[in-house]
Amino acid sequence: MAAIPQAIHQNQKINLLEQIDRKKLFARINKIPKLQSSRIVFYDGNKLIELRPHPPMCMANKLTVVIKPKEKQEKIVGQNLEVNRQDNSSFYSELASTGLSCGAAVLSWIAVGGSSAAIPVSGGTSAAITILAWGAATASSAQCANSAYRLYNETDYGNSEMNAWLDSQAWYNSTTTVLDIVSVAGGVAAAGATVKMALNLSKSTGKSFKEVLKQLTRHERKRLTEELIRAQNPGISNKALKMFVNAGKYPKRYSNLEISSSVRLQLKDAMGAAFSFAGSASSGIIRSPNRIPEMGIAIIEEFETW
Amino acid sequence: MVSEKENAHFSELEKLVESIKQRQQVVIFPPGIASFIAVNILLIASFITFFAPVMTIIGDDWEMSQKAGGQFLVILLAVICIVPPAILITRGKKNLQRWFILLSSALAFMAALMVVVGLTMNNEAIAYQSPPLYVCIITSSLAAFLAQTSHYKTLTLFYYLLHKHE
Repeated sequence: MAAIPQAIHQNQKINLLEQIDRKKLFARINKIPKLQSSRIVFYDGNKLIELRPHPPMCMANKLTVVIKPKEKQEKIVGQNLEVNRQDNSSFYSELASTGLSCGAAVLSWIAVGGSSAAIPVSGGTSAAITILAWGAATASSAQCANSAYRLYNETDYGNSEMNAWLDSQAWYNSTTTVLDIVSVAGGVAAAGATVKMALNLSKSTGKSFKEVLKQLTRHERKRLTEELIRAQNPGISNKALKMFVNAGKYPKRYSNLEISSSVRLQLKDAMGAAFSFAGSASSGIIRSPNRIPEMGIAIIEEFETW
Repeated sequence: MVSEKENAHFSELEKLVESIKQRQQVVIFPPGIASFIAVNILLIASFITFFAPVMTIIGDDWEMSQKAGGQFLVILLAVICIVPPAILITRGKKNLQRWFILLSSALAFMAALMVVVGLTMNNEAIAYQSPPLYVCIITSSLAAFLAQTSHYKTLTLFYYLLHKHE
């Protein structure tokens, strides 16, 4: 009678073999360069089932990967760290990092594309800040591309060992740090312009961003416009200011829409800076998932003796 | 050849840009800006999803340092092909719109060609890398479509007029 439960157990093992996505399994094994041309076999406790043969070529040392279902209370020793590193959580952390880097790139492009079309409420953006904005857009785009490549490496089609190897290289860390600095410098410049705008706004209106986005009175808008003209022309006299306004060089007062659009743009720049910081902070975080293996994997090397 | 209708829009746009230059008006053109940014980001995605599989296929037996070099070259190429032209568009070089259309179409075509080669020639390495190449075809086609929209064209024209006399 003991043969019946044993047969059921055997059937379960065969079902497990059928459930294995072989393409995915081979891809995961192939990610380890030394195992790329290895034979893969499944051992159900009684017999060996060959899943992939050795390639038809001469090799010095033939490797065989043996996969065996884990028995109850069976201990598995000597886990392969390289395989464990290809955990799904690495994929998700790279995905989050890509989202942040590309989000920062989007916002820095908004700053580059939008700032030239808006009134500089900050009192006029200087050439230095414009160049920093270009630099930030370049650096964040490079980081976006780098994160996207790392994300590809974490998929079944790439090589996740590559990410681990890159993280261990000093030159790679230096390069990404430089990109971070440029990106963050652009963010700081944008944040600086936002602070300058906040000072201009509070000086002339005494109101917060939120209140400015809602509505300003005619008088407040006139005061803000005058403050901005003064900021752009330091030391300008009241008479000269009025002459500029009468000549049509500057408006008498900016409309609510114009002011709120500029404030929004500045807020987006500040958000871009926040994204850059978050992107920098999230990279390099080491995660160590503790997954319980359900399969035992052994690697056997064949060699000939004479 | 520019039609009369387009001419009328052009003069309207010229007036608008003049009032912006005189700091009398602000224009933030969300559809144009959105397509401009989307084209840039989609092209970055297309570059990676095309060249990363190519590097994986051709660099199968490369050492880690060579693979890393390849990865950096792809990122550098993506940045060089996308960022300076995009900055130049915001500085008024309206003709660079064609560059983005050409680049995205070329990427879509090359990715499609690789998929066809992989399937018809029974090349396992290329066939295995098909999913990222499908993503490349989708993203680059979308980028090519967005770069041809009237929103994108208006934005390039807007920047051109804004920086016309600089």
